[in-house]
Amino acid sequence: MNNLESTHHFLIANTWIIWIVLAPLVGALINTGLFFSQNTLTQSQKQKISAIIACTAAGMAFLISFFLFWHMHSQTIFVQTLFTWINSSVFKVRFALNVDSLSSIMIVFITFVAFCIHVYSSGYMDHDEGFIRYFIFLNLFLSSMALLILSSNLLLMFIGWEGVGICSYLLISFWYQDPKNVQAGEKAILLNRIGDVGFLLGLIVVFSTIHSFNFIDLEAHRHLFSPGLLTFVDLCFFWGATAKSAQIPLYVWLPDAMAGPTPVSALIHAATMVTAGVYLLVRLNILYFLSPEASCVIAITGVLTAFFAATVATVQNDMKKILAYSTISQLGYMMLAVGVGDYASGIFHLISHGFFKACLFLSAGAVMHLLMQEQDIRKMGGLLKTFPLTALVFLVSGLALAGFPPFSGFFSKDAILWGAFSHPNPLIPWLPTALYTMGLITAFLTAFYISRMIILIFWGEYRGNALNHTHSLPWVMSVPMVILAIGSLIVGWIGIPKAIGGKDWINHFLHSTFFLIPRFTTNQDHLQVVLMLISTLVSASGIILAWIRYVRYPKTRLENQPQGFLKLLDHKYYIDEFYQKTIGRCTSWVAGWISEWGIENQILGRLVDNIALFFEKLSKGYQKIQSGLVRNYLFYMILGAAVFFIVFVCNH
Amino acid sequence: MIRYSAFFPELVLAITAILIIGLDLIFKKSKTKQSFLNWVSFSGVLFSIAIVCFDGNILSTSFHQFLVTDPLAVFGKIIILVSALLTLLMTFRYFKSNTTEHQAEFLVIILFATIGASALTSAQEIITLYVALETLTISSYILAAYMKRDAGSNEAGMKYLLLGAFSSAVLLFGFSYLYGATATTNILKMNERLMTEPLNALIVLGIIFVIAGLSFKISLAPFHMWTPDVYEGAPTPVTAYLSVASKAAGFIAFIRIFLVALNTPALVHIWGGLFAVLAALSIVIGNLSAIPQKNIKRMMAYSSVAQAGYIIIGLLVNNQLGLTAMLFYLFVYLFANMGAFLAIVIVSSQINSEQIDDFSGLWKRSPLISMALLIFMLSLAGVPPFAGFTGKWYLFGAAIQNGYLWLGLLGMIFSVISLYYYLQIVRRTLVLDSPENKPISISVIEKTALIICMLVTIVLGFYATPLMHVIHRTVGSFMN
Repeated sequence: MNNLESTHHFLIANTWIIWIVLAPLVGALINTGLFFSQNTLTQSQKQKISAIIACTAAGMAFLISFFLFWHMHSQTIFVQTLFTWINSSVFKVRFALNVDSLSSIMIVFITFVAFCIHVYSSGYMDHDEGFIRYFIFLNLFLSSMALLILSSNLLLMFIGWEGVGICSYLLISFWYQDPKNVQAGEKAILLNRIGDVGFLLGLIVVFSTIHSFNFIDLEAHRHLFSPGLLTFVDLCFFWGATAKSAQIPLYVWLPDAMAGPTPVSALIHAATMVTAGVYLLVRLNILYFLSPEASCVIAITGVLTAFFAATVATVQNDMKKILAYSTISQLGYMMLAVGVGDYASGIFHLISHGFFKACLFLSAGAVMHLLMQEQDIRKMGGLLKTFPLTALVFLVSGLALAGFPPFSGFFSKDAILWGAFSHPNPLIPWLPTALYTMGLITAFLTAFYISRMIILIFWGEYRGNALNHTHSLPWVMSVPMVILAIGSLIVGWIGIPKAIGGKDWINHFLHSTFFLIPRFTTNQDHLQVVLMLISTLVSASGIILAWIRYVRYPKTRLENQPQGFLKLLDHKYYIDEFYQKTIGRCTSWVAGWISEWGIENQILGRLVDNIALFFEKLSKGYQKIQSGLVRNYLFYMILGAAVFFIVFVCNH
Repeated sequence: MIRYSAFFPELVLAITAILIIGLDLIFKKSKTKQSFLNWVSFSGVLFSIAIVCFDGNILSTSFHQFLVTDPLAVFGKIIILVSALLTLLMTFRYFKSNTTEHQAEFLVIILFATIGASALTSAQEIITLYVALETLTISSYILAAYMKRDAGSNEAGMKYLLLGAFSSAVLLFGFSYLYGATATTNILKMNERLMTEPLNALIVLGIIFVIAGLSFKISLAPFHMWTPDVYEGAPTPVTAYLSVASKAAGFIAFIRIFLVALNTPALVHIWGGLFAVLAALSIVIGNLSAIPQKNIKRMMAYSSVAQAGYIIIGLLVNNQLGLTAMLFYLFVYLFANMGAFLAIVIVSSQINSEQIDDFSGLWKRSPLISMALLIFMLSLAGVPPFAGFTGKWYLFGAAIQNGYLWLGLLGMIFSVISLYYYLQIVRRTLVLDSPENKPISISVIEKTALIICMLVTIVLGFYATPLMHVIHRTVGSFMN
């Protein structure tokens, strides 16, 4: 009976997977129709309808995902093959979706956060002219993201990958009237294109080696890759991931991406899209497990990104910029987890980070919404009394980010730090200790910068002049914030380690996806407890330092121009300037050279012109034959037939 | 006993046509009557499509196997009937701005032409085939010349009649040689006899005449000279009909005669090469001549010459892959070309011009039509991800796999060149501006038809599996 029932669920699940992708797509299409429709509805009625449609679509996607997740057991894999998408003799790609433990937990997390943010947006974007357009893009994004997560092969995943990229671009440049926003969008898409080259290169090498894009075939035929080739493929995909997940050296687009509406930053540039790179690497876990060299590169890049982004975040004054650098830093942690081979912890941190960072962005958005779009934390302060709910939500998610127990960030970050410390490295014996130390310093910086931000926003005296226009938060905004705040508190409990009496549920749950990777066990539970205590202390000391610095002596800290090293941090290590001066200059020099030395005009231009001229002459010449006279037409017809016959007679 | 089952779709059309003549005589002339008659013709064609769809799975023959309803016939009938349906839709719009006192007869003649085209697809015997073809062609002469107070229409009708009569005579002459060589008019038997018959010059002469006569119908160069003049002068719905329904019927006739009757190793050797030359000539001449055109219908005429060149590639490779590609492309071409003409009729009847220049600034006046034209033009040019790309990919792939590498490459190069003139329309509609910004009105049913054409053109580019399934079955039943 039980077996029968599960088969029944299995069948239902298999036919419903596609609707996770389709529901938001249909929502986007309906809203597009609404956008272009010219009927008697007023603008505000249209807005209401479009918001309901978009939220329903996201909600449906979540319900289906939840259903799948609920029926997910250790060895279950739901597969839905819709059709053969490309079919030629050498090249066969199925449009198939695949739900295993990894993608089920990812999709349920993503659709849930997306649903919350859809609801939040309907309040945040109220009175915006592009309201309907906004929801079209948001739904389209969710659809692409679902495709990215659920696809059963790399090529289909690439479509989702590009889809989220284009939606990210559209939403960064959402307020296109300001050239700055458009440039930010362009920067994002340009840097992502650089990453796409890596992804495509990886695709090509994988296909030419195993003649398939399917993840299953990839696992089965992993021995076909020689070690060198494997490292190359791994680094190609990592190259793609550095752009999407904002890692050194391609992270520079993410801070600028904050030009988009704040809920977009929460959904796309914190919780979901930017984690796609991490997801890709975790999906290909076996390829990374087999290449310690590539893993080393990833771990080192990850920890460096985490560290550098955290240092920059400590001196920024723009609320969203701080959160952006914080996101880069946290993504670095996830990459570190992937690099040391602790894939489950990477996903664990991805999910808990998604909750608390989305929550932080939404609270920041609420503050901006209430303060006439003010983003500079120097012009805030003392808002605790004015916005108690927002302050509470901010505090909960902030503590989660700071990694303070028992908030979610503590468990997930600690899982990564423990993973980095305990997994021995076959190439560089001292690397685990170094990674752990860097990670710990970053944790300290994280606690510091988020405490600084919360203190400057909510404690002390109000330093701005926008407060007299405030109004209350609508429920559509406050409810999602509270839900996500609860999530930031409790989501971490799914991974309480065994060392302190937990069940480490997520590790067990994901194990079926990582079945090829030998289970890593240690019997150093005491050491793990000690390290957890150290993390707690480090986090607490970061908070205390911020307290001393900004509550005790606030004035001088805010008004002084940063000097020395702080100035370097304030300018984000001059990385943007460096890119501009090197790559930007080189490119424009080459482009200038090409146009100045006449390669374009004299050689290419003439070539193109002459080809066009040739065909134009040919076509003009032919026009003379088309005389309009029936006798000529008849003549050519007979001539044609006659020539054919003569040719035949001559041949035989 | 005579069986009629294979003739039902045509029978429905004939009854509808006679009904319209009768109703037209009974009722007094009024606007209501006209729209009523429009709907009668429309539902007649719809009913005929329904019969083909639901009854088409049964292999049936009528009139001593003169007519046969096999999967190929069903496929052809669907293309022809759908394009007839869209032509009727254009007619309703066209007569809003171009009035003539005999609107009902126009519908009737379209139906008669469709009977001919539809019967042609199931003709299993060359006399039947010829009669069906003439039913189609003679109706087309009348349709082309229908606007009798318009000099252009008259000229078109006259030229079409003179050249068409000549080509029909050539075709019949060719058939007579084939009959002389095989002593049968049945297509299947003709194939059997030709297998054993030694090759002689008279058979070859017959084949060349048949090619010349039929190439005229689908306007393959150098037998295409009538196309631009007739397409330009004829009423626009007729142009659309000629460019899709009439051609589809011609292609099915080509398939029946060449892939069945004349499909012997010795003969394939001859006509394969001839068709390669015809395809190449059509692709080159059609694409080059389309470039300098100012009139949109004339441009579409040359475009259709080039498109015929692409499609015939599927025939000349003489295998399953080629036929699959050919049928797929015909289906795609139906929606892209009919959609484009529908858009052109809607716009040109309201701006009173057929000059490409006057399409400037259309995006302001009708975003939907501008979008539709963009999609149809890109599909006709073969730009991914639209269906036209997939179709050309199959066609050129078939050419390359069967040793016609040069033809595949030529097709690709000229597809690139064709982008120039297709995008000229897109550039005017979407990029350029015009002082005029009065909205173009569009009825609900026209909008629906345009959107369906657009959706088919987009979806088939991504997801062709169901259609390919049907085509594989059709091809499988036809060639082994």
